[in-house]
Amino acid sequence: MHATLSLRIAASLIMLIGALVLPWWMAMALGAAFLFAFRTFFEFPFVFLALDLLYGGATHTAFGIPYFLSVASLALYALSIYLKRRLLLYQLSHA
Amino acid sequence: MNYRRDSFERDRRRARWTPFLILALIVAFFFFIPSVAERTGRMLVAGSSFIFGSESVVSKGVRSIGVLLADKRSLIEENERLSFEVARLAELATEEAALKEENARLLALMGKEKRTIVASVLLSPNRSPYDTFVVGVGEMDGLTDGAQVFSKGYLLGTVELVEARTARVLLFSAPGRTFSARINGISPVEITGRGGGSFEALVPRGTGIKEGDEVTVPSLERVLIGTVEAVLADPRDPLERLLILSPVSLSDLEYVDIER
Repeated sequence: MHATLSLRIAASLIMLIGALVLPWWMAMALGAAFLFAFRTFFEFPFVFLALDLLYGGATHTAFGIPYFLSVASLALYALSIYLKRRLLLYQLSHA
Repeated sequence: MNYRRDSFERDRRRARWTPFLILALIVAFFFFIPSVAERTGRMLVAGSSFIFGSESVVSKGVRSIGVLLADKRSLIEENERLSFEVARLAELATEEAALKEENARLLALMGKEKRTIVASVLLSPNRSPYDTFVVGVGEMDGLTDGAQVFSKGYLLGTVELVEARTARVLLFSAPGRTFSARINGISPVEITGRGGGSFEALVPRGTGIKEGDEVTVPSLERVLIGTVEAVLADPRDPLERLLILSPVSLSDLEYVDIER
């Protein structure tokens, strides 16, 4: 199997298990790291949408926001796209 | 001379933002159609017992990895500690059984009988920002919506979603959840959850409420919620703010008692 694909599958599994066993903010930090490690890590918002549905994000709010985890992960995803284009260090390492 | 094509940059930008837009649309779909969100949520709560139940492959795997990684010396030490703990708990259990029997007899005399069921915590509350957690008992064990959940004698929350073998519990400390309680004989005091087992309340100054006072639910039995940790008063404000904390450590929660 291609090394990059193996890495990607491992990262997705770590993200999924991390989201279920770690506190939500730690899982968010882990996902943010993966967002920068891969060009597009679209598993990140999907995992947090599933967590929202599991924990009742549709009916409850956190910090006054419904679907807090999904919204936060989407915001981080968008921020990562923006930052990856702006950071010279990232551009050089992924050239 | 070669020139970079404009369409190339446009395509790259589109490729970057397409997954984001698709995901945003999916989130919006669940947001605007709550029935689908609820049904999917129910499926996930029901499915959590397959992953985190005591007999699941994942739980067994995690336990066996833990045993493999632990060295012999630490296992001997843990064994000794657990033997001591078992002896201590056996002593406490005898005492507790007698008290429970007396309590049940008194409640029966008053025409109120309380039956509880022990439930394992599959997904602990510190993993959710909504102060909810999933337990490993459900409709098949006689659980119903709204059943009260206790730990170490403290009232933690209520069951809000019941599946066949699992259920979701909403803590009283969930951000924004309000309920009435009694503090130092003063009732009702409106208490608001702040998340993570903490609460706050506003009371008029001069009520005599102090740090360490117990917070109970106004009912026939003495049901504890937590204790007053701090009283914040400002001479310019006619109200004082109470900060209340549940002594139950939510991150270490393994089992809870649920009223049937």
